[in-house]
Amino acid sequence: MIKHLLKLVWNRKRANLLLMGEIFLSFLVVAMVVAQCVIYANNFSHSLGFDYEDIWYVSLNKKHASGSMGFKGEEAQTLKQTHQALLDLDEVEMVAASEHVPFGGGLSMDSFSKDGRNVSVPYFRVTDEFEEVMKLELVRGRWFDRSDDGLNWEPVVINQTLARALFGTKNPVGEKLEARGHNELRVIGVIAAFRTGVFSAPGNFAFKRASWSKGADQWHGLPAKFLFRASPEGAQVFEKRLRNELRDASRNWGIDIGTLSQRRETDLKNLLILPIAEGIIAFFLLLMVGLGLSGVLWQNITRRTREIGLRRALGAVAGNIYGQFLGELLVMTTVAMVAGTAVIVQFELFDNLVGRASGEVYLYSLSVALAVIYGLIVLCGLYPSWMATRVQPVEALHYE
Amino acid sequence: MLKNYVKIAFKVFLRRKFYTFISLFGISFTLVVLMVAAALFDHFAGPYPPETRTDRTLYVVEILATNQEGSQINSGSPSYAFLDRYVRGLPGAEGVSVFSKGGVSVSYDDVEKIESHVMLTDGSFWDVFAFDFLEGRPYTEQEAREGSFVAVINEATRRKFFGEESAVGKRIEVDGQNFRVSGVVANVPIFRQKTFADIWVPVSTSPSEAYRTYAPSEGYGSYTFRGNFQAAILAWHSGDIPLLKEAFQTRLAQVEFPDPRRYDRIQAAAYTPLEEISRQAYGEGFSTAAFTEVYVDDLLFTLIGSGLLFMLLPALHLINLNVSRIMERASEIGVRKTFGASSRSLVGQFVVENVLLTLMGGVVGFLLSFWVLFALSHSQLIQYGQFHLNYRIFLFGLLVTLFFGVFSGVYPAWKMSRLHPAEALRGGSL
Repeated sequence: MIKHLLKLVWNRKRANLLLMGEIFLSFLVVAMVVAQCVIYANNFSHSLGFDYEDIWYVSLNKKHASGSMGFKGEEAQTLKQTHQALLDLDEVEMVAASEHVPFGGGLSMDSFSKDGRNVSVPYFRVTDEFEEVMKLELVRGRWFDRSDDGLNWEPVVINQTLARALFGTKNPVGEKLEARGHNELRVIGVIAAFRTGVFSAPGNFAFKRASWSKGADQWHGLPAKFLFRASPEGAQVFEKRLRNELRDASRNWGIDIGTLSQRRETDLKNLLILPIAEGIIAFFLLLMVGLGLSGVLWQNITRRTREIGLRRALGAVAGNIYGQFLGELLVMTTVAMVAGTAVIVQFELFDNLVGRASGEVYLYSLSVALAVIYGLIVLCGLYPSWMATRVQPVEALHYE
Repeated sequence: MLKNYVKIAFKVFLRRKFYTFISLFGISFTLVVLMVAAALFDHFAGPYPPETRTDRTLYVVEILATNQEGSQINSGSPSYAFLDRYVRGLPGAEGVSVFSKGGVSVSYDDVEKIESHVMLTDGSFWDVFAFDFLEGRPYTEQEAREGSFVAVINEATRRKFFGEESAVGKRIEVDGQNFRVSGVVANVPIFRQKTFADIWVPVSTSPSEAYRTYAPSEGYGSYTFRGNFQAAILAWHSGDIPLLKEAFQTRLAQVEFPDPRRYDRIQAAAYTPLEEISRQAYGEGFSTAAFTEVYVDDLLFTLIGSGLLFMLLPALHLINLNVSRIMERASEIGVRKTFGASSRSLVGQFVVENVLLTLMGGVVGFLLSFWVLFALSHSQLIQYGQFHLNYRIFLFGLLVTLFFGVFSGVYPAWKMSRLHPAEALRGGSL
């Protein structure tokens, strides 16, 4: 049966090739859009690794310089004063400081190597309170504390993904790491997870220690973003009071105050614009293709009236005719999708190499895309095929 | 002849309304996507106020400081002191402005919090860029040098602080400093990366003078070179661009290093706006080897390539439709052939018919793009974004439309013209 259908398709290969090309391209479009949505949803479903509810942030920005350059004496003084001013507030119990704020606040990059393997690692430099304020989940070893003051090596805490990438199943606690132009690094603890953005992939992450104590490197050790838990009655009034309290401590600096929930919402909104636009375009493309296909099929069937009449006269029932036309269509679709899948698989290989998405993501996107295209094709073929079953043998043969 | 073709075409369009509708839908939708994309790119990279002189502007936005041992690498935006010393007064330039990348500042209006993007500039900023002043005037070179507390604000900020009233001469508080408003400019959209801000104030109003001291004290390290500033260089003519780029490199060779053990080499380049965009898209900021590379070719290749890729599906769709549409008229073609019509005139007729159809779709597409851009501007999804159709985008759309008309019409027409008359009269098959 399928062989026969293939023959029928082959007989009209030129026209059918064009149709198959159209189906092939639609398949690629759907697969790509779905893949992106799946990647987003997949990342979103992973744990952030911290609890953002009720966390406020105060971010100090130098107006004339970028913060990544570190802070010298007077500036360090400002940061300490701000820290103290925050601690003096009744609503605030504990204040952590960090180089960056989660949800679109950037990150620092370093490259760790172990036994000749190089891994690029995003990291935050944070103070000892960060773990408790953010409610990180420690799975092995310990977090930074006072005992890390004045070491001649640098302690790091890594997440489980990074632990697996560097050490496999071995216990990473106490292991040494090499990194470009640094003191020796040693892993002191492993946390369950940490991601910085709503849709960022659950990849490698590390924390380095920042400290207010005297011995710390004043150039790179001081973070300028403060994080603390507070659930004040009137958030707006609280924010204004906060700003007034901090103004004296931080002249000549820009201050940004808000909650992590607000940041998360903004991040979400900004990141969703592009996929939504793509989705709208893909929807209209499919609508266009669907309308076009049904037009073309309808035309094809009116032109094959004689063939249909002959089959009816020889005893084919409506179901046979239906089966023939939908069958032809499905054969063409399948050929197009095999080609499409071959192309997508190339992408998968490529993306696995750069480590952007896993095979599962593509498998899932492929199945969704297959379902969408088959559904669309059948939908477009139904009406024209039904038309074909309405052909009266007498009329059709008379046409000859 | 042409008149006849047009007449026939319209008759055909009306006879097969469903086909006409599908064709029009495909063409106009494709055109909307391409034109909106083109309009967004044009507004992003093209000459719009205040950055109208894109053809004769150069930017210095990044520097890379290293030493010979390779033990120190520091890259990012330059400091005011560095730009003031080594870019300002570049020989052969009409003007040079040094201004900050801007940052968010907060003011309070009773309880209401007002967040504004504040940029620190010098006086020549207002000569190098062409701002559209709604009232008042910019602050002068002298005011900017002497640290007068004057500010230029945009329309949106005026509304937030003063409602519909005039703002010139009134005072606003920004981050605890008090400024007198000297002028109000039209809103600058957020994608005008060099000039976007809500409030512009003289850089000299900063409480500390550290920003303008080159090589302040020992231990500052990269502080000398790196900061939060950028420079724009305006050439007299677009032909002077290569000369200015060279002049800047000559200046770089004269850079003094206050602490040569830390840094003794500086790399930087002056980029045209398009080069700058290409670097943002493809540049790898941390790779020292490629620090001064530009990627304009890659950028254009990607843009044109993705445009063509997008057009592939609609093009196939139209060809498929046309093949069907033409076969339906096989008997008409048969009659014309029997009466001696040449293949060429048949192809001509069909292509004209098809171009006519795409042009109709084009008109619908133009109207829809206009509406989409209007809605996009109105939604303020992109801060202060105002998108319009201009002649560049219009020409682009027309080109795309004609391309579609000819491209999707020629193959089916050629197939049709080869039909045997007798076969065609019977209803023919391709």
